[in-house]
Amino acid sequence: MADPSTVALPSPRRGVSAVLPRQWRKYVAAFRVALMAQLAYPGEVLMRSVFLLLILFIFSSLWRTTYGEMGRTTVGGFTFTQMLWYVAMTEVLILSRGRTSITIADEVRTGDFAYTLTRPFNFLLYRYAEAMGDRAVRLALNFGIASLLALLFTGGVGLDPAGAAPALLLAWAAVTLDFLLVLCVQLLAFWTEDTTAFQFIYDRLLMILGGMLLPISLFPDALAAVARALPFAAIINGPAQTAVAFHAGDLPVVALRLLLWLAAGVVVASALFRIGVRRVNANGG
Amino acid sequence: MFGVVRFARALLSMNLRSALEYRVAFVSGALFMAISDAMWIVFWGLFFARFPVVRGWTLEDVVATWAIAAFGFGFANGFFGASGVEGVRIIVDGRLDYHLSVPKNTMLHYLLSKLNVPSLGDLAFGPLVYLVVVRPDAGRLALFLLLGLLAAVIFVSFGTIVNATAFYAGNSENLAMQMTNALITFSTYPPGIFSAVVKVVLFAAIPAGFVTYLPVELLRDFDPARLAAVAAFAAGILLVAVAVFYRGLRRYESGNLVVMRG
Repeated sequence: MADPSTVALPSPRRGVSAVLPRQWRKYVAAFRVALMAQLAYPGEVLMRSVFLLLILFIFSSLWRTTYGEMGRTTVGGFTFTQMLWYVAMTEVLILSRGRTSITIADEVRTGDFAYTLTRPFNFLLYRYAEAMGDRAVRLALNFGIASLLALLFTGGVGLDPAGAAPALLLAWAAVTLDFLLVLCVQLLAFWTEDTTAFQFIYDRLLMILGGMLLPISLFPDALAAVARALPFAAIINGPAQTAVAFHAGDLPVVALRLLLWLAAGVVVASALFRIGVRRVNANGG
Repeated sequence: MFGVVRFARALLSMNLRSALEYRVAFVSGALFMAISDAMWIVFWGLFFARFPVVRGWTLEDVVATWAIAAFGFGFANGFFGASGVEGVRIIVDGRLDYHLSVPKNTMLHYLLSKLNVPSLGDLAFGPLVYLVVVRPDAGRLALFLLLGLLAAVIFVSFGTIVNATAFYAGNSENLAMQMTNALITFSTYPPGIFSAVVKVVLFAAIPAGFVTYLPVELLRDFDPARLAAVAAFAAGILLVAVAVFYRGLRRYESGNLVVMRG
């Protein structure tokens, strides 16, 4: 029998884990592992920055020409500098989504999902923690690269200092909403097996109705009203516009829309998961 | 020559029949790519609703640009699937062995080894959007189809050249993807927004100028000399692609990979 005085005691927990209840530590661990995995492959992020360079170069040319031809300093409430920084911020949000969010359908199709069900964690929370760890690195790196490129192409900084803190909070809520909506699409794999087409449609709706390339303030009035009511604008246009052209009066409405869509996303994703799990057939062997 | 054509037709027929075994996946893959293209037309529709003319180009000209690019890319990447990023993977994985072991044109066999179903959506979208938005007469439609095929030759050749970097640099998948993205992206924007220096690059290094800029000018105002220039460039880049591919092939080493072929 081992001498109790020689038995090693577990090392004390440090950092966030030390203050969190035990049941949350696994989600912090998932977040941390996903974050470290992204940091291990900086080359992949740098390659993506080539795409950012391409898009921002083209849009700086397009908007510079357009502003010049119109002979105006502001269009849709944006100066040229603000317009390009707006496009940069929308690209930061769109390109921050990694592959971890879109592998759930593959797991359902191959049956690997069944192994996940036996593990002692909440599937939705675990995948959220993983996705946010992955996304945090991409957001930070994309923001740095996009800001440098926007500064290079415009010669100025188009961010509104007053909007920095609200934009940061809105951006985190926006990527959470994007995660929930993508999760809803991916969970359709319980019924359709292949969700590629639905993911495609979602991404295109996000691009157009989210105001990714053209701010919603430049849409025709009727379409702008519809777009603002949909979740896509809450994900893209809301945080990006807050970052470059902050209006304190608009913030409560933007934030409320985001929160309402977040609540709806949580309810729908939870329901889809609960109903879908009952359809899982696991093959032995 | 006829033997090559018969061989290409047989390969295409086999690939199409194989893809059509999964009809739902075939139709949905092509359909959703066409919808994706349509979303870009919606973006340009919103843009030109606000700003009707950009350096002399209208919505009709941008639609013509997209139509030629979609038709050309759809034909190239749809039927000659290995001219896309998959072509790099074939070289890097050592899957060229099969094509080297049969007594047929290696490059053609390699290019036609894969059918990319979503790109067939681009192929269908191009002429459809051109017919619906521009409403051309028969002569203009014939010219559009010819220019689209020349664009396809340029896409296949450019793709083959960038994929051939795999013979020298190993896994150049990212590079090939970025270069192809650059060609597609620059091909779908009005050339008037770029400076003279950039336009030189877009005719020399990333040949978007020959893919869409000159063709759209031809559709607006036909000039036989311009058509000859586009055709000559397409022929020239095809010859370069053949030379680069076979030169790179001399460096190819088998990966001894066992592949099941149906």
